[in-house]
Amino acid sequence: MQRMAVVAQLVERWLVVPDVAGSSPVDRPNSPGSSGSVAPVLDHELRAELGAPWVLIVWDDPVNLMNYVVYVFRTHFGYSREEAERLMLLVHHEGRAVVASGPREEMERHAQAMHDYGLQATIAKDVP
Amino acid sequence: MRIERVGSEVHLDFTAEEAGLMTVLAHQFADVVRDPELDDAPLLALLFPDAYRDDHEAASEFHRYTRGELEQRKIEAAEQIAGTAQEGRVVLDADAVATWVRALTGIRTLVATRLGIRTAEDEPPEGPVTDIYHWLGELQWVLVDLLEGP
Repeated sequence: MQRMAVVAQLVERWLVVPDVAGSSPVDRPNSPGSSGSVAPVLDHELRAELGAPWVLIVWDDPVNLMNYVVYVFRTHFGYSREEAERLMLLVHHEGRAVVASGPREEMERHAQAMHDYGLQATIAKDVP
Repeated sequence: MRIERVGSEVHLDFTAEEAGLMTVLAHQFADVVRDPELDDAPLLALLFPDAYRDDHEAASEFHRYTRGELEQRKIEAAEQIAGTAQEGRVVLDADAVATWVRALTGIRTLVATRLGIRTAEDEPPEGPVTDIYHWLGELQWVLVDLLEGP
């Protein structure tokens, strides 16, 4: 399901790209606006979307209780109690922890869910 | 306050004072989310954090498409507390307990910012508001334990 959503998004972008290229030829001196210029752009988008994953980071905060953070990690991500406790302690001791990685869209859904639970979560590009 | 699990339910016994406090705080929280004032900025920053720390534009866009739904769910959760907290016995099913613990994080965040708690090292000054903050923490802790229990 999630994979389908990404593909749909890419198709949508693919359809938009020729218009963008055609409407601003000055910015793309090497692009004649033909369909031939579309493929490299799509490749780039694909790489950005699928090749380099994004990460969800949860940060320590002064309010949330340790057992609540474990509960949220278990409930939302389906982590085992051990994994949820490991991640919670990482947040507690290191100030933050990467709790999920994957496509940007998915990380944004997780971030919204974490904010719904009242946790401090951010999204960043995964640094290899 | 007494809390016990009875089958799949949680039974809370509130005094009139405790029930009144929960109701007032829950209403206050909903009001602030609905209609914040300028000095609520520290609270809003915790309730609706930037999803991107180094990309202002992406953070703004994320706010644009998540803020409304987040606000609505936080308000609804707080109003559910205000609607069920009462003197005497309060019976919560598992879903209601989940809503209570989520709302309690928001309400405790409200009280924490009023107390000037910004980091984990900040010790709130002794006083009635700090007592309330700790009481809310105990309530949330026990409710989470009951949710997570065997």
